Amino acid sequence: MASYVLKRFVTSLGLLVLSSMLIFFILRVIPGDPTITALGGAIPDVDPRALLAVRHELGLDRSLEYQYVHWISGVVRGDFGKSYYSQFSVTTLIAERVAPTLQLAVVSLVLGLVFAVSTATIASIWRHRWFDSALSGFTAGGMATPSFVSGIILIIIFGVKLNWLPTQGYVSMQNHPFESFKVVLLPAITLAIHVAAPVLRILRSSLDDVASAPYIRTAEGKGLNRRQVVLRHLLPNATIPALTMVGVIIASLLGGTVIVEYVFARPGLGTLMVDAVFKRDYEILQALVLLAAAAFIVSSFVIDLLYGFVDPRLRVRGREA
Amino acid sequence: MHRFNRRHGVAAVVLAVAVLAAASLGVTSSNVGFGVAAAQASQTATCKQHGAISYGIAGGGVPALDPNTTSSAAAAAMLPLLFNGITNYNQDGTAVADIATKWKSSKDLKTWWIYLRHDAKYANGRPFTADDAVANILRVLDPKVASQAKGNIKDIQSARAITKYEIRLRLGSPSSVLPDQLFLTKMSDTTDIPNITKTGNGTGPYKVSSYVPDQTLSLVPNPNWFGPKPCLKEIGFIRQPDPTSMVTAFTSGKLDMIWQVPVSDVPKILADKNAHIIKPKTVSSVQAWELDTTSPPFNNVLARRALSYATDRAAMVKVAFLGQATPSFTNNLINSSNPAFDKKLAPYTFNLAKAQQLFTQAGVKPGTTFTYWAQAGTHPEWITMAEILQQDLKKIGLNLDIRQNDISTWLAKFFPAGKKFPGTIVANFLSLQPNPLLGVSFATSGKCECNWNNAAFDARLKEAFGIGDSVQRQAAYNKLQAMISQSAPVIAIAHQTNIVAAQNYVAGAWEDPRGNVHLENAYLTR
Repeated sequence: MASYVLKRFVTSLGLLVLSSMLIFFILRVIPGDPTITALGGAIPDVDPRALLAVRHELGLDRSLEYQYVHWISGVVRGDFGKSYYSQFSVTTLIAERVAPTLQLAVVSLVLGLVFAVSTATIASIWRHRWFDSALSGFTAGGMATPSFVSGIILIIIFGVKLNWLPTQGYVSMQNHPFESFKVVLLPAITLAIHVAAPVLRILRSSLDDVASAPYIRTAEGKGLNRRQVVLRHLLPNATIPALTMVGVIIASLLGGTVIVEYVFARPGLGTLMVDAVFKRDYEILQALVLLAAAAFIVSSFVIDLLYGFVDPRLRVRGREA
Repeated sequence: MHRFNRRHGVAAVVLAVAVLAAASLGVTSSNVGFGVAAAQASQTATCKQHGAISYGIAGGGVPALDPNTTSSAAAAAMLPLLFNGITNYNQDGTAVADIATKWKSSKDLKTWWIYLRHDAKYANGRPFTADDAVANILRVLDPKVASQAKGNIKDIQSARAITKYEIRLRLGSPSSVLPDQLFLTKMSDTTDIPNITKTGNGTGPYKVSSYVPDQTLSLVPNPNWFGPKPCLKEIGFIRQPDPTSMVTAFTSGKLDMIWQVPVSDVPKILADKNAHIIKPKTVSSVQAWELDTTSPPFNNVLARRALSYATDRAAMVKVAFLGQATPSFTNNLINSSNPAFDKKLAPYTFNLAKAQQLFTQAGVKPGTTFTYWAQAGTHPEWITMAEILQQDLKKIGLNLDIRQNDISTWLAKFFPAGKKFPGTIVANFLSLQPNPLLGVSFATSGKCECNWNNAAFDARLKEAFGIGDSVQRQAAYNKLQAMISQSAPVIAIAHQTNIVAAQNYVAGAWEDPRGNVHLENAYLTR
């Protein structure tokens, strides 16, 4: 186990370094320049000497290799640099924005998983055709519909027409927990649809596969009712394939929040990233993409470890190997 | 009999010298300043309510708080709330005293003395003095500081604090409009440069309560403000995801004011009994197309004139701006409502036959394709104008390829001046200053992205700055306007500015000729 963990750790580190190089050099290839965007604005009149001075101050007149080494050495020390525009440190900007994103990610994950697991379980216990059809429709629609479309539909229905829920902004949990939940509900439901749909699909399929296993017949033969069979035997065994999907979803949640945060004007890491793209604020972009890559790698690693926890057979096989 | 003695003689000489000195001085101006006077009026009249205004900005928030280096148009509304300048603009677009009380100049207009308020303080309580004024001017002039105010005051050769509240500015060339030129330079707290862009420490009526860059900015009254206490207890600048959701939030009452309302939403707001559009008294900003006058085919003035004749400005104003703009038929950077506008200029009446003839003379062959370079996701009216032009050019055998880009890619094509972009028509919104000289100075060599480096124009402009007499100055304005109109380095389509909407209970807010909102005297009537 220890050697497995070490091997995974080293691989993950290598992937991170590769990601950092990719994002750094790709950013410099796309058209646009942060100094020009910073100085452009709506008023035309910039001294060319000032432009050169800004580029020098930002280190943009150095070679790409120098800039990369300078950046990565800062990252190792925990210094992600400063925004070209606001002059706030990237760490400060990310720290300010992490709470809204985290809240959105956690709430949408919980909502999505609770919905997926509960409806899959109910469908397995109840076995009603119309319920199954409804779930199939939800799964297809949820996976096919882009998040910004579902977000806008929810805004129109619940925010504009019914005026039940706020459609933008963020309220801190510490200040107003109830208001905070109200504000996060619509964006969380938007994201939860895209969490629930694939998980539900995999789980339903997995439940059907496991249902034909011999030990299920044995359990039924022993006199257990349907609910007991599903909860004690079917669900735990069907969870493993779904766990893989959950791992992928958790890892990709940061990407998912980008669109949803922008649609709902939520001041999280997603909007920070979109703004940084438009402005070519390299320091912020590099930091965020690196963090996203790290989040993906770490969550994959954790899911792999969880397999061993969920499925005792994997622990035994591992020991025997 | 009174005898004339040596003491009397000395006194007489001293008196004569004083009289002569006074005679050499130029115009003196002594204004209380629009901001303070209006604030007093508003407070006396209706400052019964205290409340908060939420101000929506679509697509981007306030990126930074350094007034002398920020180039964000969205941030412009917060500038007069946090910072004073030596001068400010009033609604007519004329410069009035702000943190200054008065000024005077030498007869040759090369030396100016500016007298400052004695009671101005920064939000952190530090008194504002002449040293601060000089420090801000010098910072703007510093070649290493990327300030867009630099162009206005680059002719200042020296800035000195004469007394605690008096500064003296010496210019390289005469200028009769220095007060206008000083408008863009704001009095920030230069003693804390590293934090200047985060704290927004200024002498204005409000101070920063909370700030998340590009997201939210909350202002509360500055207890050290030298004017009467503002009527609002808070002003919140709130970023909106896009113009549509901003208008939706406004019409549902969640926002009190919104900036840059899409033209297509104006009828909806006009139909709303609870809201109104704030209109500026005059407009100095221009919707224009920039051409590279150093690359083919627009390096030929005939091709530029041809494009101007091929531009159906009336249709563009009607269709793209829904009538919310004034067409610039004479291809003039100065609005026809400006008193300095030259009414004798010949218009570029829409005439495709003439356009075709001029294009042919310029060597533009049938089948040539021009590129129209616009921003994606904003300014939909630019695309409408492009589509009209595309159809019209098609009629005379020319093509237009319309390209939309994100803002960085759009800017990188033509900014800063000196870049080559042959055969490209760049859509742009020029937020020009209301003073006619400063407005047309956009076309100065090295400034305009159109690369129109015209020494004769530069010389005339420099000369015009030094003219004190109003009749002679108007003659100079006319010559400058004629040069721009005839050379057509940019194609001025229409004078139009940012559309601002407010709920009916918001009063005291106004929009300046450049399209920036002023909330210094805003108050709520409910």
